Amino acid sequence: MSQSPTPDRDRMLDLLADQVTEGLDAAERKQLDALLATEGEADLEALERTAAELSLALGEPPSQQADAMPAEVRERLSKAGREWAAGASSGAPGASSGGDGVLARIGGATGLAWFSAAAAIAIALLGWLMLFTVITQPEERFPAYADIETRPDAVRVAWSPGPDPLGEGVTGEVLWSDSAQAGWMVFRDLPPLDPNQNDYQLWIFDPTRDEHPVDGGVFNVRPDETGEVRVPIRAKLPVRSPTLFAITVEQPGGVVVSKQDRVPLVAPVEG
Amino acid sequence: MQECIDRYSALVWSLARRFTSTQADAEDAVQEIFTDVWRSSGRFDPTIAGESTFIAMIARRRLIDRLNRQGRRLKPVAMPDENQVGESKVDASEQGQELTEEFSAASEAFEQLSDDQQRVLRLSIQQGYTHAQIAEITGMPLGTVKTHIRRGLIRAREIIDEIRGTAGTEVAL
Repeated sequence: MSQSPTPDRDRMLDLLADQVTEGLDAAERKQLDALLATEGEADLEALERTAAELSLALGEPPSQQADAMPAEVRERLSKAGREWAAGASSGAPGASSGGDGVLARIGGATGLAWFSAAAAIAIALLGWLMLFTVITQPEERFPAYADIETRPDAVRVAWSPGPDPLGEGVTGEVLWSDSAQAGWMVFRDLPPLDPNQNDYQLWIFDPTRDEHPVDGGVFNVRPDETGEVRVPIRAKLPVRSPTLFAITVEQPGGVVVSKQDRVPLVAPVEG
Repeated sequence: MQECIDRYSALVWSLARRFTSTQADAEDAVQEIFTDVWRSSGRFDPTIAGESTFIAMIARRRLIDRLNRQGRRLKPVAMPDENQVGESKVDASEQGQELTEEFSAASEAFEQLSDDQQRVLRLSIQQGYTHAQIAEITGMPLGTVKTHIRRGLIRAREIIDEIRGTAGTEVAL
């Protein structure tokens, strides 16, 4: 890690750091490949490992870990694992370790038999992944309004005008379920915004988390959308006990930190 | 297979939630990650990294790939919470104790980084912000953010290797 710095080497290291923290686009990847060819080898995996170790060392504290993997997700994962193991063992007779061999390898055993069957397994995996991708598109699986509405913990709160006059005359409601970690916003007569100038953004206030609201998603209304508009709520962090939903007007694409200069609608949760 | 899921589901789920915007997206991500773990397990080398690090590396790689495939349209966290992240340590659940031991060197290394390096690495690695978002949050120029991330990662690697007595075994960065 002590080679002499040059502009090209600095750029190469920047790109390597970019790759392990947020990824590269095609142009950046091409540039990195060219720099690696001229600047010599660099240990990308060492940086990846460092980021992974720091990620775990800085993991969320127990008080923030209310989002343990839901039981139904765990069950689906177990089922996928069993299917994977079955496919691996049936597609690769020599891989006697199968799924157990994977775990054994992780646990420190040799597991070379599994590795020798990698090609056969990869074929099975590809088919499984393709099937899985079709089945599990997030947008397709977003809980329907009716599904959330019937949950015992569903809350429904009417929109009220906020300080910004844009919300005057708008009606509708927020539907949210903590157990589903999902919800819908319903608006009637919400004015469309010029998408080149602004978007709407939802914020969810949850005092059990911390003082900062959770980003609930960025959206807009098309000029041809008249009458009732329904927008899914896509909370960026687990929400445990929301006390207020608020709509702000932000720059296109939304913001990370809202100044809350324009708040056309709010929905306080009573109780 | 099931033991692998039992042992590391909390870890993978925690990482997935940091990089995804919906539960559905997180569910897809964890399945991708575990599949990759099973497929890649032949590459695991306990002399280089512990199990948790190996799995976290794969998880982060897959999650970053997913973000890129989605055009980095997902903002992982609404607001930075820089007060809590400095105090946070590893999960105290199933594998908490093991993680604590495995990553004590990483924690120690992190504490030795400069304040700015710690700040941007928290926002990037712990909370999943893009570099541009970190620049917006901190007010630092984007180039400065990238420099802090790069130097912080390299310095942390050096310190971790010194602590473990493995300095010099890495391919030079």
